[in-house]
Amino acid sequence: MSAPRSRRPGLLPMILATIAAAIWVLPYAWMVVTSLKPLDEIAQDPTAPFPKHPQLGAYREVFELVPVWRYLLVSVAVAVAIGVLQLALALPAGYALAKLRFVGKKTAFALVVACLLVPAQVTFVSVFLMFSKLSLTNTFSALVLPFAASALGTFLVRQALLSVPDEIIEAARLDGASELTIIYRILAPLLRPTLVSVFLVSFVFHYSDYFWPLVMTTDDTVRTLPLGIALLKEPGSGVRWHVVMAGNVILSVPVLVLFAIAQKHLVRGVAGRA
Amino acid sequence: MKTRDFADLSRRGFVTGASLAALSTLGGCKRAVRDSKGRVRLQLWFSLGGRNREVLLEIVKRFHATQDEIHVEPVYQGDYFESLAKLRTAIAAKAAPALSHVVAEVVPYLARAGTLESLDGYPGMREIPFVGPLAQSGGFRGGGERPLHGVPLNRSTPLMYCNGEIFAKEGLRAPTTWRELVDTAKALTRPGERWGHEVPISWWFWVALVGQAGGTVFDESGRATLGDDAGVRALRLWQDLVHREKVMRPPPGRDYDAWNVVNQDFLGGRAAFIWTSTAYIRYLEDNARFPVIAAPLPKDVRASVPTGGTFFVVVKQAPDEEKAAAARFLRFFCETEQAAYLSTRTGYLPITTPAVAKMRADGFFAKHPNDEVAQGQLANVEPWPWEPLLFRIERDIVDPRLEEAVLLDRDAASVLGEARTLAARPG
Repeated sequence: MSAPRSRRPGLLPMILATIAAAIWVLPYAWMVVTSLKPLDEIAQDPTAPFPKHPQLGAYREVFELVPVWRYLLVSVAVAVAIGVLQLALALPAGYALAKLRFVGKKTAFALVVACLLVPAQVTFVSVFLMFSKLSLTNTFSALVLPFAASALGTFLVRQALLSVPDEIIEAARLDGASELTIIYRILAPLLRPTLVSVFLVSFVFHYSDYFWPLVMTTDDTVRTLPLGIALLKEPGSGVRWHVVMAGNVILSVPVLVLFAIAQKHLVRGVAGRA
Repeated sequence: MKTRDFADLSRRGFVTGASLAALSTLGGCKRAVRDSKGRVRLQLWFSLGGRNREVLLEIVKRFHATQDEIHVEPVYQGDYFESLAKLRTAIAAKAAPALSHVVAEVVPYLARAGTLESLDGYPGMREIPFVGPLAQSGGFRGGGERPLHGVPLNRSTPLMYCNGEIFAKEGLRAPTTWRELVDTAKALTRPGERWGHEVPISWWFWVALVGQAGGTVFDESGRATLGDDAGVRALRLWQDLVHREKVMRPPPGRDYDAWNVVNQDFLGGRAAFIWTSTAYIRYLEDNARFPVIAAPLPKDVRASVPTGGTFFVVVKQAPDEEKAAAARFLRFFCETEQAAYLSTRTGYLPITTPAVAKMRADGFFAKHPNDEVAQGQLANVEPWPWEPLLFRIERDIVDPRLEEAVLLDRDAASVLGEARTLAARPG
């Protein structure tokens, strides 16, 4: 029996996909190219596709001006901690909203969805005051705890769980599994693509977050890389674009690597094949 | 299936983890005035990036080399506006640093709120020989009679920069009046290739125009007049340059985006003459492929420029030891060597008269005539009013309307009338 032949995409979808990819890739390519140009070349022709005199001096300068490795370590630690906590909390929350029956379930779900609409800028004053009273500003906890519960993560896990047959859960209960076992040992593996997507979205957002670390840190102890890269901007004395762009290239590399590694899971998660 | 074991383990683990997390969240520590070496810890929140940051850090390093009782901890807090938002929040949370710096126009607001320490009582602070227009005394109307709240850090005025190559080729000189500005911009514009003139559409440059047209943004009684007729004339000048004469680039963005675009257009030869800050002297000189010629802003009925940049402020609620340390650092910062160093490296104006004298004696102004032009323009400084609402009116009311009015060519009188009405509301 021959294997089914995979259908080749038509020409039009290929062209559309190429255009869409170019729209996404071009700004990044421009950033890389600009980082390789000297400043006077950027001023003369900012959109020139290739540098006339490529140079890596901007990268050297970034490493001289900013403690890149230390900031990077903090950024990754913060983003990973938030991602792990979000998964740990989104799973039981999503499970409750998808599979349990309780009074106020719809209201609870509506509240979760409503939380998606509230940006950090709205709550930062009250959270800062609260953390300050607990002497928690400028700590790792201040960067992680406010994001431990994710409305988006809860929403996505709940949606994914709706497609999981109740029979699996019933069977586990008959086998004597506790609710936590059902959630973390039985359902979590089934939801792997969704959980990877949630983790990746969370990681990218919090790894590159500028606002919250800026607000909650008061010295260099737990500063993150986006704050370090912001130091390269020179609003009062003129921007050296090649250095700023080099900093941004360095900032984005870990995320690109992570996406490359987790690409398969991400595509499955987006395609909804939990 | 060892579900029960796992369930027990997970419950124990959960409880243990939660307890540890709770303990760790309580692990923050109270503010320590002194470090392990017994030095007073002086936190300094700053908003300077790039070369300005390097200069500030170098001055901190020099300070540390002169004494061992105070350790300054400079911490970057984002741009001016992010830093201000955070400082206000930190003051409310009683978690502010002893020393910070804020844009000049915010000082009256913070002072009225009772958040700033008066520096009058600290040794030597009243005796620092500041350059009048750059200090609180001359930078604000009546600023000298008030308690000393602000010590100038990086101070600037708007300045005109001309592309020396283009002006020489066309046989033109820098415009000295509004009429000449329009004519010169017309003569130097090459459609599709080069704008004659460019300026960030911003409150700061508009205030300069208002002053030149003979107006002030606040009257003597403290009412926000926004220049009345002079304000309208100022706005119309921009609208005419953009829409009627088509010799000035329409606003390419807001805040520093606009400023950066203007700088890049100038450096790339896409604008023949621009207005921007004196702070960019070094940047433009170092990166232009042509001679950069600075000139005073042109006048209409008179010459006038506002001042810009930031002032150091000491937060009142900080511990006494930290406030005393802040005053000591500020005195060091204002010493001739440091003041001259900051100015020569960055393009910001020297803040003390001995620093100006030193730079002159060292031949700095002879070697850098553009800096001399900036010095000369200080005679035309229009002080800011000491108005607590000044910054709100600037940021929330006038600035966004200026950009919109120029972009859409809205009626200048009605735009400013609307802004005046909003400005009259209690803030």
